[in-house]
Amino acid sequence: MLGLPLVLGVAVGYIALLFLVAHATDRMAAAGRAGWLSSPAIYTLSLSIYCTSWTFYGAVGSAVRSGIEFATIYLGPTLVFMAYWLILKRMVRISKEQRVTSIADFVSARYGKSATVSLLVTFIAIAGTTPYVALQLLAVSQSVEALVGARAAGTDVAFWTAATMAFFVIAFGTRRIAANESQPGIVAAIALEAVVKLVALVAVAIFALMLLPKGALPNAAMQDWRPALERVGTLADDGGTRWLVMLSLSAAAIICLPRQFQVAVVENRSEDHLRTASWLFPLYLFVTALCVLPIAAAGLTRLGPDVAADTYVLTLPLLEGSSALAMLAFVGGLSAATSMVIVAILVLAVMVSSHLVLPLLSRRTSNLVGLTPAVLFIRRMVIVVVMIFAYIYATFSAEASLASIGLISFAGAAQFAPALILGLFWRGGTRLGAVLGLSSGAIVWLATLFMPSFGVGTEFAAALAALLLPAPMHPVDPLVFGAVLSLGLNTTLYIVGSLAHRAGALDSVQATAFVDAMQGAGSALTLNRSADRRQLYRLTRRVLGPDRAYEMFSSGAAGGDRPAVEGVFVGEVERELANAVGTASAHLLVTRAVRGEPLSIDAAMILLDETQEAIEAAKALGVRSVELERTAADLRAANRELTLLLDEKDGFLSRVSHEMRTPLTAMRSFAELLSDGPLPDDEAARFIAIIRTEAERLTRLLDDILDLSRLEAGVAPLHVETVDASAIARDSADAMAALASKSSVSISLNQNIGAPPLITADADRIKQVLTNLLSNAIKFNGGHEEVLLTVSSSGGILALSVSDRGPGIAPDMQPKLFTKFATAGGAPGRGNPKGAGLGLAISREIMERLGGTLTLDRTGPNGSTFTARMPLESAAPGASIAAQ
Amino acid sequence: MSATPPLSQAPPVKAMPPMGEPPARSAPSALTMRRWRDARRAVAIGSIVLLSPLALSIFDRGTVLGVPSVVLFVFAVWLAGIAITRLLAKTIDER
Repeated sequence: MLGLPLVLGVAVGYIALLFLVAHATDRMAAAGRAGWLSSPAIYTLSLSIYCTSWTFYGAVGSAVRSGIEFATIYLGPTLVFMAYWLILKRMVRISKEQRVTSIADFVSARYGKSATVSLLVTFIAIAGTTPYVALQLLAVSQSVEALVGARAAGTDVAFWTAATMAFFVIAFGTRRIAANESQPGIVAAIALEAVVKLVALVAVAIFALMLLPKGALPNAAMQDWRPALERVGTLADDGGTRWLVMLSLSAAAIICLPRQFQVAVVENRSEDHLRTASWLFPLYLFVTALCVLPIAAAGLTRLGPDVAADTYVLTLPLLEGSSALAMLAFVGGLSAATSMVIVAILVLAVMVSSHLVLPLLSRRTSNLVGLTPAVLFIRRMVIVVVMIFAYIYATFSAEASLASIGLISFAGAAQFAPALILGLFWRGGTRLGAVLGLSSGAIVWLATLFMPSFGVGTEFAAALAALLLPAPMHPVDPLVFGAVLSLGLNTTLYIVGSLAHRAGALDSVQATAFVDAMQGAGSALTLNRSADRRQLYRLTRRVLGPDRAYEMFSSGAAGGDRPAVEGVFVGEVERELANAVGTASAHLLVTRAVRGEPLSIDAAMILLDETQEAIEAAKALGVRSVELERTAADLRAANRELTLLLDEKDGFLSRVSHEMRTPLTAMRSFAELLSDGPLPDDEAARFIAIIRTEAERLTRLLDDILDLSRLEAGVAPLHVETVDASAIARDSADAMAALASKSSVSISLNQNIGAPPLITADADRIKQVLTNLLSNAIKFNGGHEEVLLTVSSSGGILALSVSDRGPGIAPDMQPKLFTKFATAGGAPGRGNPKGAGLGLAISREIMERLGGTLTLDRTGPNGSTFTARMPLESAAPGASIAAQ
Repeated sequence: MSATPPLSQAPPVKAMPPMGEPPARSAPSALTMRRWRDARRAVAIGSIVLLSPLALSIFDRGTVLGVPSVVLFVFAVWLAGIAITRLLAKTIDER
């Protein structure tokens, strides 16, 4: 155990450091040197107030008690941030356009700036947050007790923590009236705390990892780390219900918890920061969750069964003799608790002052002189009162489990989800639906989860479960029952209430601003109203102060010195006032100052219809743009193909003219020699023989071109019948024997086949293919003496292969081997001095016409093999050449 | 005064510049961005499906090097999701 003065000294020193950091940052910001605070990394770190002492200490306890479901608390926010473009980005954009200051403000702004809605949200937030703040005080108190033991008696740690935190928030969080202005000191302190708590948790996890190889202690809860980890990896045997409910609650919490809304939406300085946070914040949560595994395993194998798993983070290093690490863990837990408390009570203060106290004040008196100091005073009072309530709760609920309060608070915040999330996408959601949904969900949450957490009304909750659920579902998990019932009823009544009631003009304007926010409709809509210039100026002066009021009314937007100001400027003033007192209160105050004609329903509807049409047109334009781009891509591809075909055609014509010119030139030259005068008989005979040979060559070329073009056009006559492929191969080999003999090459026929291989084909054409292949093989045999013709079959497919032992075909030549005149240029060592280069193209065309293939199977320095394949007549219908 | 050349004098297709070819190193097209956004949707839906109780129940058996398979599966899916989200977040231009 550590000494109480040491622990308290470290705690006080750490909180003093926070004060110092906040103060220094405020001074830097005033001097314009705090630009680094607007970075995505600081934004992401501020999001980590999600990880409270419940996470820091309680996650290990949850893992030991309930297994892998502890991870859901981190996975829910991970999923929301990975899909930030769906909800969070929309919320941030709307918040900036509507000058939203809190979640109550956001929800009420969606439903026509309804004061009732903002009041309901504020009440639920107070009910859900105060016990959660108490939980943090309790965690700090219990962590001190865990470190110093009985010596902590008589020291009210919770009280002093509450008092210090209240002072901190008053000092750094209530200097400005504009609630959506950044609080640089507080943001810096929170960022520092985010780093401290992660470093502390990682340090303890590494320490725990180092303990695992040492094995278990004799009196430990478990005797091996493997079964300990298996316990942490246990999946609840309830069909995944609890997993799904906790995942949904934590996903809702990251948006709906008032403090999370504050840091994620209100404090957001750029939508671009969300892109970084979409992976960096999940990574933060991942590392935090990963640390839980070794700490839980080491705790179970090194600590006795009497040590509470919720304190493993502290007791593991302490009981293993590492006081410094225990102290670091304590500071980490203190960071987790204080960062949450700072933001949570600041947010509550803004909400209570804007949505509860100010509307009451403005109803009682019409002359609110000096509203700015009044708002700040109210916020300070609210901070003190909330802290007192939290302290009282912590004092009287000292035995409460950390985990249960956290989840109950999540379920309370989740009640905002139907009105908030559906309101972002469904234009039909109305104020009545929101009020019905929020109030019914809150009542069920209070009755089934919140009150039973005090030990009040547990029988009622159990009786309700017995009444609503069939017997096979008993006993039901209280959290699952309370969360599903409250959210189910909330959502149902929201939809029913919305469908039953037609939205008012302002509701419709706001619904359009929210639903079409991503299409830029957020700030475009303006109500057609006017106000007395002097009256509006007096109101602005009272709320925002004389300097800001003068600045606004002296701008061009105020319309010069005219006695009345128009709707656009009235809207601007209302949004500016909303910064200070929230949208609902601002709307209330401005409405009282506005004179002139109220907006008619018809005017509002025309305005909305026009906006809708513009948005639809923009959407259609976007779709058309994508279609055009796709068409352009298709055309580009077609153009490329056409260009290739043109190249091929040009090449073909060039080759044909070249091939024809050579024999024609020779024929003409020798004919001229013969016609020039008498020549000796033997010489004349030789010239005539050359002319005949060249004429034959020309005829062959023209026959080949004609044959190929007929084959390509599908008009070449084919006499298809059942023929014996072995006989064709034999005939082909015999036919080429003379040519082979002239080149000192022998043709070996190898028939690896039993029964006569019958195929349905044109025997002459197959023979044409084989003689062409054999002719090529003889020409390009590289001086070797043997060319091999193999007849084989496999899987119902006949293969006729011709192999030579020549130098192979160059890689760049292979892709165009079967094209027209492919070999005219020739590959190194494999030019075709005699042929026109149409043989392979004709052969492949023949094989394809007969339902077969011709491929180059092998080529290299040891020779090449060409194979013609066809289905055997006896083959099964499924036999496939492609598979060969 | 110059007369309009007849259609037959139009340059051959091969000589024409490629239609709508984007300049080198230009910003990704709307179609490309749409594909990236589709990928982003697929990651979100895939993560939800892979972290559903049904998917977890498939891996809820046995251990790998002493660590339960389901723990390894959850953390592997989690890390993969973060990595892909980072890649997409850096690729997709929101403006």
